[in-house]
Amino acid sequence: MPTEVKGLIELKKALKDYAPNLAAQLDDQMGLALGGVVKKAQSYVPNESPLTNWSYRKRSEKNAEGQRKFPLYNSARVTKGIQYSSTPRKTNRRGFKSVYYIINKSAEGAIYETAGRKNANGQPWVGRKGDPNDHGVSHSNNPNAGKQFIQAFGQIYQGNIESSTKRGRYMKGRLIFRAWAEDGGKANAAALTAIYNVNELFKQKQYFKKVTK
Amino acid sequence: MSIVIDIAAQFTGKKAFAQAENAADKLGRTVKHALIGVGVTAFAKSAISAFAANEKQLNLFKNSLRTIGFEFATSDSLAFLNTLKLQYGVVDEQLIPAYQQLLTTTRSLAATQNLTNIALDIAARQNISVTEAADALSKAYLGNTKSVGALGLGISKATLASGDFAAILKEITNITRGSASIAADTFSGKLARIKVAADSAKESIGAGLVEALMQISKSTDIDQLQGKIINFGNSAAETLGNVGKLISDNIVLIKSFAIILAAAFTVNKIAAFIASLQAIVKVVKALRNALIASAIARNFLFSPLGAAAATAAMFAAIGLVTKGVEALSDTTTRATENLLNLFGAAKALGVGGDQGGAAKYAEGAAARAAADAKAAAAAQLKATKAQTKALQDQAKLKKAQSILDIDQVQIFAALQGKITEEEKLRLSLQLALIQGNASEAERLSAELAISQLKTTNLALAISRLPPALNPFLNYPSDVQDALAEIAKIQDALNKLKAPKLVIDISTSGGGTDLGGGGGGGGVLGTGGVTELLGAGGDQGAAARELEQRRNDLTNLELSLGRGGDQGGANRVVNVTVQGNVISNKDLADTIRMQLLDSSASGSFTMSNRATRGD
Repeated sequence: MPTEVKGLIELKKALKDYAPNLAAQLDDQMGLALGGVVKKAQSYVPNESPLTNWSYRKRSEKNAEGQRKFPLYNSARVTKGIQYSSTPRKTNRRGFKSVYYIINKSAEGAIYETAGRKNANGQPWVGRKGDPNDHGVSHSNNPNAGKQFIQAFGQIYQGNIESSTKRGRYMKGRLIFRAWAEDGGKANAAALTAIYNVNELFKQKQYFKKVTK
Repeated sequence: MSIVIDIAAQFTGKKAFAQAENAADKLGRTVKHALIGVGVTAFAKSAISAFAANEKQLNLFKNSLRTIGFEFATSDSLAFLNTLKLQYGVVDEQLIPAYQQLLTTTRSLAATQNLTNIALDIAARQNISVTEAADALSKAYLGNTKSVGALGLGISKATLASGDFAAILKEITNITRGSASIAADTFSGKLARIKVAADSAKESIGAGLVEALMQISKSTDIDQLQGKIINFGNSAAETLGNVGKLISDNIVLIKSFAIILAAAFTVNKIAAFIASLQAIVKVVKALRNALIASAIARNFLFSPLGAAAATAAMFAAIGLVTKGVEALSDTTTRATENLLNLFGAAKALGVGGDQGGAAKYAEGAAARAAADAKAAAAAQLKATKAQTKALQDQAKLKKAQSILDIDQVQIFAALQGKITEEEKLRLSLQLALIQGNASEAERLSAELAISQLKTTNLALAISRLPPALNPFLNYPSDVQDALAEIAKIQDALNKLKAPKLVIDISTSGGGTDLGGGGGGGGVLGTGGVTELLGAGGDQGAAARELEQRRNDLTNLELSLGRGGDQGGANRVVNVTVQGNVISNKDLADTIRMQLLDSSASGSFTMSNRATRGD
């Protein structure tokens, strides 16, 4: 379960307005807490495409009409897309708004991260005859394309389900979820401790007066 | 889609929950408005407006049915629509036009009712208005299936192309059956149904109100009634405000009046009432005067144009009231006299019993009334004191408030900082100006001016300047000196004699006869010339005389037979001119000017006179 911190958004606003030094301190501490996981996740990014022809160097990423095709692997882009953030996201369907999170932004990074979660052997194969709008099936000429694609990525790791709202397969992955699992919850504890400490400091110092710039 | 691991999150609530809460709040407010009422007048206006709109729509509907020959079905149709309205929560504004259009198209009550139900299902399923659904069905009934196809119900093109309305209807029914019921059972549908019920209630209340108010106000139609209600509301508000003001202004008198009235009517004795009447009359008079004065003043203040008429009416009323009060006063006096007579008679008769008690009570009542009046005066005094104290407090508060005045605060803050002496003076001066301290401002401005001068070294330069010379320092002695000098000039002038013209005529040669026994040269007639010139001498005249004498002399010489020439001697004439005519040139000028003057006076004409510019 991600920790629900009541008043976290308000605390961030208060820190920004009344104690910018504490806000900076919190950012630093969060960087220390989560930076390790991010670095580790980035280290798991393969330098070369797991599949030779999936590399962005081999083919164009756009079709004849200039539209984006299936994402191609770019190691640098995947590495760059793995980061931690303190910018609140949109409220999800369950009414929760993430404030601190680790994110794998890039499309190819997400594919590498999650391929094989749902179907370890790839999606059911229908070939070219199936409905082209149906994205739940494989349209490849190769009936084993999905399986081979996933196998080339290697093992998928089960993330730490104790510290997430997500369960089972939704916490599986090869990059951030793997790093998160290997961290063993230390980063999570450090992040929450940082929030707690800053909150306590804020209360102790009693920043009643808005800091004038 | 990004892959995310949440570390810390906050529950901020769901959008759907917020929407539902808003809808419930809205309904709550509506019901509160309807049942409790934010304002009775507002609700009455709203209810009457709703009733008026509904009545108008019903009249149009009836008229429409009449035109297509279905007037007989009006009540049944309305009952059917009313049932649908409450069942599905659809408002009249949508349902009646839809039904009307379908009936106009099909000209069949049964078909219309069936199609209306289907239209409700379509509207609920496709989330469109019943009017739109009915419109599409009407067109399909007439063979135009485009609108039905556009509804997006998934009807096959073959069915639509066939134009078979029955087949289309069957397919629509299969697709949409029960949608209206399902929609009505949702939270939103239930809210809509409650709203419809509330609207119906509102219209009913409006109808009742209209009926009642039309009878009261003798209005002929709703518009007239509505106007009257609005006017009544406005005037009632104004009147209530005025009454409140009057009561507030005369609360002490009104309290006294109430006390006396209570005293008068809570006892069961006529005599006491009669005694109390005097006090009543007294207070009523005071109250009346206060109220009348207040009302007149208010009239002139708020309505100068209508004040004349209103005041005239008021004076008429005052006359009546005054008459009534006077009559009451007279009656009271008479009653008192009668009572006293009665008491006197009774006393004489020795049967003072009850009457004596009544008189005593009356005296007590009068005493109480006097005590109340005294208390009222004391209360008035207390109120005045309280008002004075309030004013003083207000002044104190204002003074205290000035401490928080932002300008002053800024100045105080600036004074705390490191500033120069001159800046300090400027800030102090600004503060004094804000606080309205004239003496301090004057002092500070003087200091500031000095400071500014010091800054520019002007003061030093000015201080080193020598004192300014006083032109009138030695005024008396100068004047005396000047007078002395003038006196000297005057003396010199007085001593100045008229120029003496001396003409020395020297004749050489002893052979002449002119000298007679004289021989030699002599002075010819000098005294005569002097006399001619007189004191102050007319030199022009002297010159003329001189010329004349010269001519005479010439003539004399000629008459003497040129003795001079014969003698062979030269004649030398020396003319010495003293005074103003000193040189020959002066003499020539003088002579010329004299000649010109003579010319101007008509003696003779100068050849170039015109060119002189005279």
